[in-house]
This record gives sequence, structure tokens and C-alpha cells, in this order.
Amino acid sequence: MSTRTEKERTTLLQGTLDLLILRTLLFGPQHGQGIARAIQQQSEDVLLVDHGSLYPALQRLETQGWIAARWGTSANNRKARFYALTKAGRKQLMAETGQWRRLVAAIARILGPEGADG
Amino acid sequence: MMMRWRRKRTQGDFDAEIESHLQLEADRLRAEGAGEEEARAAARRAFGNVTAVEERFYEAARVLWVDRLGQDLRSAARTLRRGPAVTAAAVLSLALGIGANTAIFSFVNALMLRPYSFPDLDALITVSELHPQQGKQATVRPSDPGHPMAPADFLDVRRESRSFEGLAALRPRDYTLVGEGEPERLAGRLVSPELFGLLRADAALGRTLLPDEADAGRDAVVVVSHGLWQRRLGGAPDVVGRPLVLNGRPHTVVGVMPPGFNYPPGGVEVWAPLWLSEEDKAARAVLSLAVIGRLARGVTLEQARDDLATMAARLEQAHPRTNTGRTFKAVRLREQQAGITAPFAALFQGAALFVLLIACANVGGLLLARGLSRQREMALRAALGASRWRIARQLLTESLMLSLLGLLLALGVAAAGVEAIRSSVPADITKWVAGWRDIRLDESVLGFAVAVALATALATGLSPALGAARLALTDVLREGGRGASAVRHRWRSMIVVSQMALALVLLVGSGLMVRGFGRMMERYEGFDPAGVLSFRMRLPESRYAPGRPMGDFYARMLEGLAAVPGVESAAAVGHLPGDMGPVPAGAVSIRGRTTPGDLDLPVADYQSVSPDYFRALRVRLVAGRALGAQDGPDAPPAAVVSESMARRLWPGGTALGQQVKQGRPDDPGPWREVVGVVEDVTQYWFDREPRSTLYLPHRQVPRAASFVLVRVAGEAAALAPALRAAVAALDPALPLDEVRTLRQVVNDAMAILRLSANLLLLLGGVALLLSAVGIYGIMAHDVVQRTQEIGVRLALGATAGEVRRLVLGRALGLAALALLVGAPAALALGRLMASALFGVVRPEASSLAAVSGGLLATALLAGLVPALRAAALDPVAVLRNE
Repeated sequence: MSTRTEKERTTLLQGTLDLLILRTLLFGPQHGQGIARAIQQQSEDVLLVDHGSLYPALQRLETQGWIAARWGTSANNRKARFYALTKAGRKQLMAETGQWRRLVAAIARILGPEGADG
Repeated sequence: MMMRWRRKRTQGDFDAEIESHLQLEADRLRAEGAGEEEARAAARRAFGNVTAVEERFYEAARVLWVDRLGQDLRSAARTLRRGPAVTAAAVLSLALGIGANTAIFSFVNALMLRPYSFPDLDALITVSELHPQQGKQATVRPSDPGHPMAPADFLDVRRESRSFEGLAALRPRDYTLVGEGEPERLAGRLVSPELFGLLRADAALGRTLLPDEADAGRDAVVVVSHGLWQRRLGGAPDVVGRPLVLNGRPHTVVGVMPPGFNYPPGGVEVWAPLWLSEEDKAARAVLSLAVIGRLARGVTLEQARDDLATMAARLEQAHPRTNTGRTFKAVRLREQQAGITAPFAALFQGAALFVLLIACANVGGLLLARGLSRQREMALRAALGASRWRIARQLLTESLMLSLLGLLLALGVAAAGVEAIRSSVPADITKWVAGWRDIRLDESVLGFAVAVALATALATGLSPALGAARLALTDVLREGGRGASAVRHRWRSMIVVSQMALALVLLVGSGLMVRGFGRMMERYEGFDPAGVLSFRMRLPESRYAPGRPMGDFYARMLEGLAAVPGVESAAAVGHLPGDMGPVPAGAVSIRGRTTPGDLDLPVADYQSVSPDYFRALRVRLVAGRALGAQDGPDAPPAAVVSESMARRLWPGGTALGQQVKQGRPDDPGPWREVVGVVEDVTQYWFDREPRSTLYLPHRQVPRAASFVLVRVAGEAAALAPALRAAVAALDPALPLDEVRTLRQVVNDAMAILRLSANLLLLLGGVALLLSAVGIYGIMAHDVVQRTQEIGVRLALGATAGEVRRLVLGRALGLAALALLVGAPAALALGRLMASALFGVVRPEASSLAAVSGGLLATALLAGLVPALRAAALDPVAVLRNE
């Protein structure tokens, strides 16, 4: 089935995308499109958010109780669903950020200084 | 789960969010200078497949758990496919376990839960009378309608009791049917016409009996069974109104019962009206009627029992001579045979449960081992946020899948098992067991099987899940999989030890059963059933007057049979020893000894035997002389007693020369001199003690219905036609029924015991095999896990022998622990079986020892291959690999 490859990609992205969403919401409530846009801009267009993953991820985070959502009005007067970080979400963000940093540091140590293998 | 549901969003809400996203995106693009149409299309393009996202929302939000279940199922299927041999073994052992339980339950269901198909079965109550004396020689038999009632007491209860909608009485009556074909003996009952109404059973053809047909002169009508109608009446639809000659008297067939009608059990084929003579109606001393009733609406069994107790007290006052100490016993019809079936059912259901538990332990161990070989994967998943519950659920899903596969196979196993069990017990025995012919796999049995499978899944998945939950996951990661080995070992060892303990209990149980069976066979060898042919005979009273003519005919017939070439001796006996049928029994009076009341007289079986009986059966004479040709009709009345009767009635004295009489001292029969004492003959295999038997000369006390025993020199069965011819030469209208060798009689009677032995042996064997696999599995796994340690030991100079001892020692240690746990349980089971199976089997230290030895040997054998593998390790290669 074709959904399987899609699902595997989802799992692959899951950890990081969740982290990035939580991070983005640290600056205040935002709607889905805004979150995608922010990630894309802040990563200087390196990270392109697959919207097919974004909404299920939002759904998942909401189910976990890390973010909360309600309908509101956007800057240009459109009705949109805004997501905000909860207390639990803030804690989760801290934990995941720490974990991520450790992982990256460890991998960096193994890979050696930048350009060493080049 | 509830939380998730409450947070559920509607599809519309989600659609609105996507729509808003598209608008926002389009707004942005427009702001960057794109045209209206272009912006919308680009936004949609950037978003991707809207439907796919919506679908994903659906999965994620609405049925999150189904989605996860799907993942679990797929993953479980992958795992199971990866090791097809192991999976097959697991499924097979579960199928055996579930199948055995299902097969046994189908018996429990048919025999105990709904032995009869009558509406509102629980309102049907059998009533019987008990008095203190009766317990002495009473035995339970599947055919026994409980203790019967005296006709006068029955009539009083029927007239006065308010607890019953109605009561009906039954009295056994055998019929000889003469007509086209061979004469045939039919089991029948004289019944109160109300019986059919109380049972709510109607005739399939014609009608049942009418109330006024219980009057003298109007009672020559019969209702016949479906089987008889098919077999002897050609299944003719116009059978109603036809004449049928029974016991030399014409009867009219008024109805045919439907095929499933099975009351009372015992292959009854004729129901005729019971009419009571004036003498009968006044009879209070002789208990001759079986009674069944239906509780009146709203009356409970307890109320009926209270009512009957009041009646008993009143009758005791009115008729102290006969009714002192007499009580009524009311039992639900459904539970009537439970005394016999319940111990067997408990035994087998228990054994089947043990096998299932062992199978569960095996499969659980397997899953755990498999789970642990993936422990790094699991630890990683746990580190990435998978909860332990999620991992446990994965294992549970695997076990669920295994049990459901097992369930499918189990239904086949159960169907085959039910068929095998059913066909291994002869119809002559099973006709006494109500519900036997309706044993099948129906909805309730299927429901039971599914419940067992689910419980199995839980039991199988739970132990590895708990085992996995105990793992300290960080340790696993840090120590490369070796860290949790202590926990794992303890857990798996526990599983294997309990497995072996269960196998021990089962094997000791089956060993007991087999030895008990063997001992029973030996007991019957006492009168040497080999080479004896038996058949049953009934002289119609219309042509043979009771008394002298009957005795003369039997004597002539035995002479004729003895003259047949190949016959060593021929004898007649009132009832066949070893058979399951009822033996007439009654009180015995001793001249010169007075007893306070009628009911305190000793009780004995009455057996009329012809001169050659003891010789034909090789029953040993203990004292005096056997009954012989000299005990003719004109000779002084004589009797022989069994050894245990002599011991009971004349403890410390001698029986020889004593005067005894059947019944009460003032009964009309003659006083008889005891001329001999013979060794005990086992009448029923389930008798706890030898019965008292009073042997009477057949010529002095002839019985119209007798068994004829012929000892032959060669092949017994081959002589049957010659014997038939010899009887036909004297009277061609006499039927020879139940022509069998005595060994066959005994075999048939013990069919249920043999079946039990075989079944338990089979279950025990399966249990042993499964636990051997369990031990092998843990030892093999152990060796793999300890490869490095063993390598180090070898490198440090341990010899191959020491390594072998190390591994085998562990296997034996597990077995020893299992013995320690299992032996007390096995002994307890033995005691339980001894009481359930009428003392036929006894727990024995020797069989426990034998089984224990077998278990240790099995453990040794199962540990051998891993031990050899460990000893053959190359330490250099092992250490380099690390």
C-alpha cells in the first residue's frame, strides 16, 4: 500500500516536527499556516513543512495535551484555528530540546569537527 | 481512551481549518503579487493532497486506537511470519490446549447443563425415598433413578402435596416383541399417563397416554420410541392403531415419540400405562416406583423439600412400622446424574486446563524470548517515547493473534476429540447417560472456546509483557543486552518450573488412572472372563409358569448347551457380574437373631445360580461346598454366601450351617441352610467395598430373566451360532440378547474408566512434551546468552565436561524445583481422584516416584543438546567476537 511509505516518512519526521512546532509556539499562539510558514522562514527554507504531516502532528500534540486550540481571527481578518503551548507542552519542549542537544552533540563528537572528513 | 474521545473534533471543524489554511496561504501569495486564481491554485498545490490529509485526520483523531491496533497487528504478523516453525509450534500447542478444553466443555454442556431438552427443565424434580438401611448396599449408577418410592407413599404425596403441578411414577418393565424377524427384548416403562404432560413432551405421531388408560383393562396401549418405529414397524405413517404383540399379549400402538425423547435414559423404547392394583396401592414396604414431578408455578425446590419433609413426618407417625426414619429426597432432574458426571467432568476439565496452562507458559516463554531478542529495538523505541504499555500491548497483540490462529485449529481438534470420545464408549453404556447423543459443538460451546482463546491470549501475553516491563531499559541499552539477563532468567525459570510442576501433576493423575484401570481388570480376572460367552434370556411368563417349569427349562437348556461340541460348561445366573445393570437386592433374615425393626435387617444382592456357575467363572470356594445338582426343587433349601457377607453377618463365627431367609423373618419364603462360602466377586467397578451376595440355587429360585454363561475351549465368539441353534431346538421363539464374551462385558462396563485413563495419559503426554520443549528452549537460550561467560571459563581452563555439567545441572535444578512444587499438588490431586472415582484409584508413592524419575530424565534429555553445544564452543572465537 502506498500509505505505508507515507506513514514511515511521518514516523521519521515525527520527533523533530513535534519539537519544531512546540518551539514555534513558544513565541505565542499561531495557526497552522503560520506555524508552517515560521518553520520554513526560520530554517531559511531548508525545512519545508509537509502539510500532510503538519495537521496530524498538531492533532497528536493536542491529544497529548501539549498544545491547546481554539478558533480566532487572523491578522488579515480570516477565521483560523489558533494553537497555543500548554504548561505540559512547555515542559515537554524543555525535555525534548535537552535531549536533542545531547544527541546532536554526541553525533557531532563522532563525526568530528566540521570539514574534517572533507 | 475516554479523554481522547471527549476531545474528538468533527470532520466539519477540520475541513474549516484546512479551508482557512488555504485562504491564509492564498492571502500571502496575493500579498507577494500573485493573481487571484493563481494564488488559490498555488496554495492548494503547496498544501498537497487535501483528501489525504483529511484521511489522516480521520485516522489520527477519530480512531486513534484502531490505527495503533492496526500497527500492532501488522507488526505482530511480521514477527510471526519471521519464525514460521516456532509460530507453528506455538499455534499447535495452543490449539491442543484450547481444543481439549472445548471438547471437554461440550461434554459438560451436554451432560450437565442440558441433559434433556424439556422446557423449563429446572422445574422437573425427581423424588425418592431414603431410609437408614438403604444406604448400606446402595451404589450410584448412571442408570439409577435414585432410590424409588413405595406406591402407597407416592399416592399420599401426590394427593396431598401442594408443591407440585403433578407427579408421575415409573416402573421398569421389559417386553419381548414377537413378530416379523427375530424375537427381541425391549426396555420399557410402565408410566403414569401424566408423565408426558409434566415433561411437556408430545408424540411425533399419534398421541401420548390418556389418564383413563391407567385403569385395569384399558391399559393394553403403548407409545413407542422413534427408533423402534423405524426398526421394527418399518417407519409406517399409519402405525397408530396397529396391534403389537408384547410379552405374548396384543397391545395397540397409540403414538410414536420424537427421536430426541430420552426419558428415562437407558434405551427405553416402550411406554405403557401404569395401573396399580389394590394390593399395590396399599404397599408401603417395597419401594418400587421411580417418581418425577414438576414444581408448581412459583414454588422453589427448597419449599418443595420442606413440604416433603412435613409429609415424611406425617407418614412416619401414621405408619411407624414401615416409615420410621424414612425421608424424601428431591433432586432436580438436570442434576440427577451429576453425582456420576461431575467428578469426571471436573477431572477432565482440570486436566485440559493444565494442558492449556502449560501451552500458555510455553508460548509466553517464547514471546518473551522473542521480545528480548528484540530488546534493543524495544529499548530504543522506549527511549523515543514508546510507553511500556505500548510495548506490552505489542506482545499482547502477538499472543492474541497466536490464540486466534490456535482457536481456528482448536475447533477442528475439539470436533475430532468429541467424535473420538463419543465413539470410544459403547452405546450400551451411553444409553444410560442423558444428553450423550446430543453432544456437539454448538453456540454455547463455541462461545466457551472463544472465551478460552481470549483468556489464553491474556495469559500468554501477560507473562512476557510483565517480564518486559520489569526490564530497566536504560540498562539494556547501556549493557548491550546483557544487563537484564538476571531478571529474564528468573522470569523464564519460573515459567518452566511451573510448567514442569503442572506436567508432573497431570502425569501422576493419569498414572493413577491407568493403574486403577489395570487393577480393575485384575479384579475381574479373579473370575476369569476369558473364554466365557454370555447372553441374556427371558422366558415369557405366558408360556413358562414361574417356579418349577421355568427352573426345569433352564436346566434342560443348560444341558443342551453343555452338549454342544467345544463347550466346557454352561451356567445361568440372575445377573452378570461386571455388567452395569441392576442386581436385585433385599433384606436377609438370620434364624435366631431378632432385629428391632424391618429396616435394620442386613441387605444383600440375591443371585440365583445354576450348579456350574462357580466352576464356569472359576470362583474359588472358601468353605463348605458349592451349590450343585443336588440342590434341586425338592431338595432342602440351600444357599451360599460371599466371603464379605459371611464376615459381616458372622464376624468371628462361621456361616456354615446357619439358617437364612430372603426378606423378613415372617415372610413366606423358606429358611435356607448356608452350605458354602465363596470368594467375593466384584459386581460394579465403582463399588468401594465388596458387596454382600446371597447365592441361591437357580432350580429352587428360578428367574424368568437370566444370563447364561458358556465356557468354551476355543474361540468363544465362533460358537454363538451353535448355541443359538441349541436354544432354538428347545424353543424357537426365545430371543438370545446381548451375546458377548464376558471380557467384552467387563470392557464395556469399564469403558468410561478406560476412556479416562487414555484421555489423561494423552493429556499428560502432551504436557510432558510441551514442558520438554520449554526446558529445551530455556537451556538453549541460556547457552546463547552465556556464550561469553562459558568462553571465559573454557579459556581459564574449564574442561568440556565441567561445562556440560554446568548446563545440565541447571536443567536438573529446574526439574528438581518443579518436583518440589508439584509433588504435594500431585498427591492432593490423587486424594481428590480417589474420592471422586469411588476409591478405585489410590495415590501411590511408587507412581509419584516413577513420574518424577521420568520428569528428571526428560529435563536431562532436553538439556543435553544445549549442553553439548556449550561444551563445543571455541573459546578463542567467542572472545574475539566480543
